[in-house]
Amino acid sequence: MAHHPLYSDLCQIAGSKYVADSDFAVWAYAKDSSAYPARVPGIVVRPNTAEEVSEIVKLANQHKVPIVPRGGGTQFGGWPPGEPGKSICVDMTRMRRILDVNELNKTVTVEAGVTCAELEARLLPKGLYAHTVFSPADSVTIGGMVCGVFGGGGQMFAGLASNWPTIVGVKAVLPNGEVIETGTRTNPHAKMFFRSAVGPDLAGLFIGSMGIFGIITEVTLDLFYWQPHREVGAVAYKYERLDDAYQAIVKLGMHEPKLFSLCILFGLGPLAQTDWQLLYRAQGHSREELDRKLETTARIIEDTAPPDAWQPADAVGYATEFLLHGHDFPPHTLGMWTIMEFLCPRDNTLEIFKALSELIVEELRGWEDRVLSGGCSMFMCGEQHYLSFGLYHKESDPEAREKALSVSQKGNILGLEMGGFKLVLNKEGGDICAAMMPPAYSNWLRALKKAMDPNNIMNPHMLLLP
Amino acid sequence: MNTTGVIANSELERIREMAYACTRCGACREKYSGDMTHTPAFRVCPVREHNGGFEHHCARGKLQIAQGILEGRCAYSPELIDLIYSDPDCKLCTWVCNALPVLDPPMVWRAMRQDIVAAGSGPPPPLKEIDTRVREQHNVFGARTDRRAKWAQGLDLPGRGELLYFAGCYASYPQAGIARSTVAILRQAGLDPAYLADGEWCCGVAQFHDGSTALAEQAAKHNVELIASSGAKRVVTSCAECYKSLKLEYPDILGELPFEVVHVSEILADMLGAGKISLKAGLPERRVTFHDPCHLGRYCKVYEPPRAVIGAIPGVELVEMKRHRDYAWCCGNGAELVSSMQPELASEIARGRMEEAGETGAQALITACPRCVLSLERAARGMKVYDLTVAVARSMGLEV
Ligand SMILES: Cc1cc2nc3c(=O)[nH]c(=O)nc-3n(C[C@H](O)[C@H](O)[C@H](O)COP(=O)(O)OP(=O)(O)OC[C@H]3O[C@@H](n4cnc5c(N)ncnc54)[C@H](O)[C@@H]3O)c2cc1C
Ligand code: SF4
Ligand code: SF4
Repeated sequence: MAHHPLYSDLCQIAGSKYVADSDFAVWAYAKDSSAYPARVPGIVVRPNTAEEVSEIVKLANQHKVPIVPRGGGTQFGGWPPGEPGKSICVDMTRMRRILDVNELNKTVTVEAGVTCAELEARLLPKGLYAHTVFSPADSVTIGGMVCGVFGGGGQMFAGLASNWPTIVGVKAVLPNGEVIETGTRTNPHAKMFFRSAVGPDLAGLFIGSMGIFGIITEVTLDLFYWQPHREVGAVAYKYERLDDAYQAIVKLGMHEPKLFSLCILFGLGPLAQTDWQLLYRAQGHSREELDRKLETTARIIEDTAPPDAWQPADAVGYATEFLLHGHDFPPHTLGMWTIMEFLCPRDNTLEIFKALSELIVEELRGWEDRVLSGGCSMFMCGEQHYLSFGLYHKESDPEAREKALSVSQKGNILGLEMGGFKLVLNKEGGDICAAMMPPAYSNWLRALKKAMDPNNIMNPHMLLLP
Repeated sequence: MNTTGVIANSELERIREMAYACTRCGACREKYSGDMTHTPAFRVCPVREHNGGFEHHCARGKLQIAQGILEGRCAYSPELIDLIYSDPDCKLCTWVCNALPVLDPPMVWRAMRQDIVAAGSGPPPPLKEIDTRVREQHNVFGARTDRRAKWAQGLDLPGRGELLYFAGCYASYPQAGIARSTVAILRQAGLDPAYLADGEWCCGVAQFHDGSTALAEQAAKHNVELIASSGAKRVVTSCAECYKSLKLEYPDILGELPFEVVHVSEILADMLGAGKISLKAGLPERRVTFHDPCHLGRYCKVYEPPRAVIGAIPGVELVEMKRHRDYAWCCGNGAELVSSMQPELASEIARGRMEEAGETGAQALITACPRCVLSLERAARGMKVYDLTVAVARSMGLEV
């Protein structure tokens, strides 16, 4: 088989063990964790250092070959297209060193390819913690988390809709191959210890960027003390009591200080019409702190709960599984997951939630056996709510796949038009949002991209950009 | 595209649903257990870990490729065939995959190998050679059939009896000490195991995995018929791979067997519990660790009996490796696949496992499979590697 034109050059940079271009090897990099179509790169390289990444980017510029960076490959908004059969997929998972745990400054600096779960496991013995993602933490890389999902969220994020405020700074290779550092490292004598830079906070260019402005090679995150005391709880509400359940999570969510590290209103959705389960996980540095939180929670729930709310043991069992050991989500046996997800302000979350439920009932009529409405969740995150509606289908059933994707497209548009905001974008998800962008904003984005990446090397064709 | 023959994909089609059941979560690349302080698993796939770390080496990538084959978007090139064969089927990906039982990834590569064999495009030469030896000499080494029972010379093992010892190729040829230890222990407990001698054939483990299922079936039929005609009600084996063949594969193709199959670790644990044997002396090494063979552990779920036996050796402290029981890392062999296709990769995997053993501070490693002993011994760098039966015979003061 003929090699990719840049095969030898890439072997020179990263070593031949870390370059692959056979048709099956590149095919294995063609999708994310969604049902969206395959986009096959031309070659895959697994660099080991920022310098190697920089050389790869320079090489790509020289030959005008697009680059698609890849972390854990667990985005679910559609894999970036690059240029099929030609792009260089830069697999960042070889760069997985934990570079510095600074317990005094309470920062941790890691390479972009470290997974969230590994970081958590390495910090835990020191009694420390960094905000990452709830799931799939075994695969999501810190670089992917920063670029792909605005810093991630879901894990101990009481008070935060996303972890982005806990991102101190990044080291990144720009589209021209230059290596930069943001935050306090804009003073070359300083460590990376604070987000503010000399001038504007350009770290924001990378957060949620999906890699269109460069490749992140290092990330510094704030550190927190691990809260060893944890407990989960659950309350169930009858299906028709959604408004009451929502009132409970609003009251719980507005409480100061925040009570939970995780709180979800979960149900199997409008088709199954099972009970709503309010699942929560509270944590504390001490048992007393945890008990105080649990008592307050019980009081608020009692004040808002209707007489037919109860606390079933099986719900608590599920909550324990899901929230305490919660890295294994969602259940994989149901098939491929297609998700409609939105961050919503408190004042219209319920409205969006109900509208999406109706849409699902309408759209799935006659498809109930092939596209499962696999649950809807309303995560309480700080002052917002994160809504997610999952659909499951068998990937072996192409019609069901198309149906699931089309329902999710419709749902995404509806949610956005009603004022929701998508946190997981990538190709298809990003295109829907970009189509609604005010022209002045999209022109600005286009101009920025053109100025930074004149050869359009970095993840082209995202957000309706060229 | 460099394609090889016309491959009908009939086996892959048969398990199509399974090939498509992957949700691409990536847990089969690395996985930290929810309860990290108890069983952290770290890197999952030994092939990915020691081969450049690409997607196509791990289950997620290979399942994607299987789908590509079904959709006509990937073709079986010689390189792809090599890839599909360079996998020990260690099943760690199955264990971490939340889609179990809908998805058992190695079953997908086994189906692909069957299709490759059916089309005459495989197995690749190193495995074809093993198949030939098994077909002609009934052992994986191509050693003389009439030497198979040499280890039993002077033991006067009966040909018939209620309990039968199935030695397997490794304990019959290069690791006779394991076979002799097993028999010595059983005899000490008052049991006189029957033995098929030269009539015993290789259990067919390599053929079950390399897609040469007709040959595997031949071995299964032969062994089952002979065992049944020996009057055995119970078969004991000291080999994890033979155990898995007899326990899982044979009933799968032949239906319920007329005898029970046990691994020697199970019978040892029972005999200890019933006071039929007693372990008297310690080992020269005080701190030992245990390596769970994939075929004994993840395939057959035998985890506690070998540990109970080790725990009964006086003065010996068992320390677990980071990855143990369901999470145990492969020894690198796996049904002869990796050791024949990519010997260097097999050694690297074994070295990785021995490093992990070293991290426990253990002075010796005990395992319960002659094939694992061989792989790990070669990578041991000074650490003593025992088969469970050898350690037990030693502790019982038995001359073997
Ligand atoms: C089942 C499931 C559950 C999820 N649950 C959560 C959750 O609870 N909370 C949450 O926050 N998210 C969640 N996510 C979303 C996931 O965390 C994000 O999609 C995240 O971006 C994936 O990271 P990754 O390393 O896999 O990145 P990839 O999927 O590999 O890449 C994501 C994007 O970032 C780009 N990229 C990757 N690495 C770099 C880099 N180093 N530099 C520049 N660009 C890069 C890629 O080109 C791509 O555009 C979930 C996803 C799944 C499939
Ligand atoms: S094989 Fe299982 S663990 Fe691996 S990506 Fe697929 S679903 Fe996840
Ligand atoms: S069976 Fe073992 S080696 Fe093969 S893909 Fe699964 S984890 Fe990797």
